[in-house]
Amino acid sequence: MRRSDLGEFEEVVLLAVAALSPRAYAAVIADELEKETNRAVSTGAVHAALQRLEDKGYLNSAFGEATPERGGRRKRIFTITAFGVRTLTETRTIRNNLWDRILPEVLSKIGLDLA
Amino acid sequence: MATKQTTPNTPTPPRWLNRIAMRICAPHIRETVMGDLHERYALRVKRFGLKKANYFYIREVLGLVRPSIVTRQNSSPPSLAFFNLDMLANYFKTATRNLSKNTFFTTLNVFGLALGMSLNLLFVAMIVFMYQFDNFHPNKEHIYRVITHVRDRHENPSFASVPISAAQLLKANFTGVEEVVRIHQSLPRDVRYADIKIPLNGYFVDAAYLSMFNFPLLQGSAATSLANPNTMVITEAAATRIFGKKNPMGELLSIEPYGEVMVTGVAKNMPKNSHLRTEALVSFATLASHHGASFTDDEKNWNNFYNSYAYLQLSDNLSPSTIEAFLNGIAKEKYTKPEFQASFELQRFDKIVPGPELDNDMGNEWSYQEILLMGVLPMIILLAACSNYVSLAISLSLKRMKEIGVRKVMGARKRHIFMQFVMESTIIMLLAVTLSYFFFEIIRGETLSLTTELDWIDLNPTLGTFAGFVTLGILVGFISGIVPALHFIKTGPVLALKGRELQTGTGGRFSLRKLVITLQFILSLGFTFAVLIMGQQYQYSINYDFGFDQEKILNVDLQQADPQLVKNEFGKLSFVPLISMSSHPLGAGKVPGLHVKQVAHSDSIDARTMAIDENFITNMGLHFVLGRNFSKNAGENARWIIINKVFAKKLSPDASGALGQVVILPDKREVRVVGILEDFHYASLQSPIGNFFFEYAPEKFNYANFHLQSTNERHAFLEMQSAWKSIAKGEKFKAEFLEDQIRDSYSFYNQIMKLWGFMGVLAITIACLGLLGTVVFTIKNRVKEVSIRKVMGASSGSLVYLLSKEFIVLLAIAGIFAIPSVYLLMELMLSEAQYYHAPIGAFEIVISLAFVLSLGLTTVFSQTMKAANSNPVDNLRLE
Repeated sequence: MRRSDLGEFEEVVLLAVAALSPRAYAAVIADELEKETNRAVSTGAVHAALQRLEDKGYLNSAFGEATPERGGRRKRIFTITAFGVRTLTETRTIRNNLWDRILPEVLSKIGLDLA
Repeated sequence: MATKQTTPNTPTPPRWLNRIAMRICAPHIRETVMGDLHERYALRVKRFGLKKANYFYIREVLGLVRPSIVTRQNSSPPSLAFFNLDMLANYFKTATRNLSKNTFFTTLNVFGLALGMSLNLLFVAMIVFMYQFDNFHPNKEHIYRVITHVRDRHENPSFASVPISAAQLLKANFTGVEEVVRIHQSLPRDVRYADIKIPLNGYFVDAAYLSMFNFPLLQGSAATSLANPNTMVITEAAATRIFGKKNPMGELLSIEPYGEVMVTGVAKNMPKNSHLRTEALVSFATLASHHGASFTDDEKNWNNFYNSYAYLQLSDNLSPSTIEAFLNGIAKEKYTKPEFQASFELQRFDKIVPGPELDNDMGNEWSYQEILLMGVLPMIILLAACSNYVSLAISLSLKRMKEIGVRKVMGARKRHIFMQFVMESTIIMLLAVTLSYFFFEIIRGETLSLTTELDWIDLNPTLGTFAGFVTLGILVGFISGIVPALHFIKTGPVLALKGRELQTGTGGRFSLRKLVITLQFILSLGFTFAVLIMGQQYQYSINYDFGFDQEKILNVDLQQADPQLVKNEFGKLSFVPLISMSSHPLGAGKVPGLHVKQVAHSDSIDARTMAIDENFITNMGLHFVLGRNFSKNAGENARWIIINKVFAKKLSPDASGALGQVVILPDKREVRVVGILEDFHYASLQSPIGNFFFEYAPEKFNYANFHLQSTNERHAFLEMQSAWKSIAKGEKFKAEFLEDQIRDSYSFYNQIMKLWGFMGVLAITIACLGLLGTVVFTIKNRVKEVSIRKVMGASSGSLVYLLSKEFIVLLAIAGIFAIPSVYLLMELMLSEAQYYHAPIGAFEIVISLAFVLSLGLTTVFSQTMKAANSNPVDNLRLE
């Protein structure tokens, strides 16, 4: 299998794009991640990740509308590409497979329970 | 970039932070990132309040500093730099394509510019040569010359020389002055070797001269050669001239009044690029031992600024201003009168040539002013050639408006268009310089042989010269590129693309093109007219009635021969009727002036004089008004003078009263006026006839003069030569006809004619090339019009008239302007240059007008007739 070049933060951002689609842009993604992780997420970081993802072909982008809060500047709306979806699915499958392979007794011993 | 529209209820982050954030963001993502920042800020204000939001905002801005946000995109937008390599390559390509497309105009331009530049290359070579003056002395950074500024409330002259006392003062040890070399220019121009008088240039120098300056010795030692009185060093060339193959070391030369001087060293010939260049160096000790200590130490010397020079070599830690201060302190003591003050300055050795204009310089010195003056005429010619280029470039530019329009629409800024055209003209200029180099090689030798005054110049091109040429090309290219470039810059892209310029540009009553043509023809006419006037003056001068006979008068240079012996020997020849003696040839060049006094008056009178014998007046056919000639008695003659009418009128109101008056000569001799002569031109026509007298002084005789009454001149000369051999001490027989001597004294007219004639040829060629270019261009633009007219029935004649009319008017205007202004200018110049000059005649005006205008008209008609006689179908069938 091809080595997936998807970093952890990138993966989260990519997921966020998918989750917020079709209204995913940096500001809301950052906000969303802040809410989810309870840690400050800088817009710059999100932007950098989005750019990288776009360069790698996981995302597409297009200009959206402008709003007064943005000082009249347009949003850049990101949408996930088919390739992005496939990569996400692959990563998820790998994770799931690994999860599945953990024996139930081990699971309960380390305090992890699927229930 | 979108504009900010801030409604009152949307909070905005602090502006300074915004600015920083904008700076951090790369332009291509700025909009989105800033938008996101603002949106989140607004959200945070709502959620946490202004203060907290601001705090977060700072964190956000700091968080922007990461590669993917900071990094600018390198490919777009395109760089707008002035020197963008890609664009330069593009300009070069466009330029070469454009030049090769218009082969005719390019050739025209390059040829014209090359002609115009040829003189400038000469000028540049000269400047380069001058800037290499005295660059071969190893310690040149430490050498200074003391110069003097005199303030006398009139002329305030500055001297290259310095009172000998000041030099002496510095010589007497000033700490930090490593070496002082005094130079004195009082060495006579002639020396005697084995009783033969030989001209020799030289001056007196201190012994340290040879170690301060880099003039290596071939024989003798630098330390001792000039240490003792009556010793000298001469150059190799001078040694060969005087001694032939003999070893010059230890030979004695007799120099009046210093006696015998021994050659104690032979120096390599001094290079041309030194203002110290000379042939002989005599030890300063010679001067000191001959004149005694008073020569250097006398207080009175402080008021004599002439002929004495001082060169200093300073140590590293002594600044020249210290010495200046010291000298000027002394000067305050010495020059106490407020109406006569002098101050001293230390002139850096490398600032001597080229340097400021100084009186009484070492001879081979050239000042900025002189260099500038030399450059004026070449510059005018070059200006003419460049204006051709500029006007043609603007004419042709109409065809390139579309190209410029497209460039502008594609985002070219003014500076790019500017760069493009400057580059194009630079390419042309460099081509022209290359071609011009060949012209330069041709005229170089010719120019240097024009006068002997240019002997000191060495114009063999060096690396520096070539660098100078290229610099000239680039400089001229840049300057002449400015005009066409500005022309393009000011046209808006829309207008350029529409081609509106194309329709309006050709017409117009007053255009640059017309102005250029007119000015160039004014210049050409001016030169032609001036050359003709000079020729006329020359003819006038040599055919002038000087008031004496000059036909067939032969002047034999006596050299060292005894006048009486010459008289005896030459008297035996059959073709020599009467021999007379004189100190100068009559009517050629200058005669010496002096001040005489009348017994009764204390005022002295300016007069000029010549020494003659009793036969001279008869030989020259001079007429007596009153009185008589010198007699056969030499003792009596010495107390007599014969004066001209002007002098007689000066001596007494009615001229006849002057006869018998006593005049006191500068050497205190009292002489009596015995004869008064009709006025005649004793000197050249440059100065008016003034007070003049003949004296009888056999010791001053330089020439024997007689009528050569022989039909076979060759034979006569051979006989004279054999007669000469018996008299002379090995010198060559030298004789010249008076007519030739007079002619030679006006040879400067010939030199001017040659120089101006050459410039005239250049100016005319350039003007005609420019005219040709413009005519061809105009006709090209009107070819359809002409063809249609022809089809409609216009005759060839009327078409030629239609096309030529405009240019004929321009030529006429040029004539109207040129003739009167050159007339006035030359009238002014001639009255300065020559007192007795010919009035400028109508003949010269007509000839120069006819010559220049016919060339101009030939140029115009050759093209217009071709256009008028062409088959209209050829030009119309493609429509």
